[in-house]
Amino acid sequence: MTVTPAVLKHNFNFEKASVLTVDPSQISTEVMSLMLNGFGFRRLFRCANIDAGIEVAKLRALDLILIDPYAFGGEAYDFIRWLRSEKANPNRETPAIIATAYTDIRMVTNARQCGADYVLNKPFSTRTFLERIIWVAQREGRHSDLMAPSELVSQAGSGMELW
Amino acid sequence: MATGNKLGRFLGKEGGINFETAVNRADNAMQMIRPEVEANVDEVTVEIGERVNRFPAKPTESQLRDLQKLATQVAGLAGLYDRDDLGQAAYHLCELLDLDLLCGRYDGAAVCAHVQTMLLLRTPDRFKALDRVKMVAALRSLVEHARQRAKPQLAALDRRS
Repeated sequence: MTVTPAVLKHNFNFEKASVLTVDPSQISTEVMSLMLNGFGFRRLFRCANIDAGIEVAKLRALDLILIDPYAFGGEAYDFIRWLRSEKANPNRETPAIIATAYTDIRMVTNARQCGADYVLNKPFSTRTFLERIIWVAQREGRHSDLMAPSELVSQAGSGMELW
Repeated sequence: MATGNKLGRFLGKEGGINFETAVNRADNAMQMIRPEVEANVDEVTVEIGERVNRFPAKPTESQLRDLQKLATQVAGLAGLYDRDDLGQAAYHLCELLDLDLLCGRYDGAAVCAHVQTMLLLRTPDRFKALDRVKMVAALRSLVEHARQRAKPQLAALDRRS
């Protein structure tokens, strides 16, 4: 997979961007936080469960949400659906990326239709991760209805990329 | 519904960093946590083996789901540091358990084959690269066999969604 010129030409400064991560695994959260720190993100809200994530989403203006649904099942998708449906919530249009190693076959439709911007396979390289973040940053506030450009869809990996 | 994108306002910023710089910084940071991640993958793989050893002849749905969660952890982390084969074996275990759960049955022999392969793949240099590929391919064929058996359930699932 190659990096598109459009991605390479951008300078960015995520220092003031707020990110919510929801992942029950401490080690996975550490890995993701290190990557995000490397990209320049400094404001990270790290939650180990959905309820804590909801609390943060109610209180804070977020610029990016990353969630791993593996331990939460349908609740994780309901969380994003809730976010998109809350007209008064300032995070209604916040880009959301589902980052997961495996999507339960009963949840595939749920994952596609919950309103997330992208479903990303774990494990992913720092390069892939940053490409996806920039890709969702460039979108015009539309969720679950766009196809990622083919050069951004991995043909390798152990899992599947839904977008 | 085009309303703009909050994250987009951080692109094209003066004083920011470029793509390659960001990737290099993140890659360097990732090396700091490598021993911890590798130890975690190893521990979880061993725990998977121990759990399957303790399984009754017909494990409950909850037991299988818990096992799948552990396998998902390995699938998500092993490939970060050149352990793709172990990660893929764990991914196939996730698939197999999913198909078993969908059909309401437990194929103990196939699950054990996955777990034993994962335990063998724990030691990265024990087998040549080509042999590791073949081991994972064998698991993939077991999953394919399970998928064929689950065709009616998968078709019903498709109709519902």
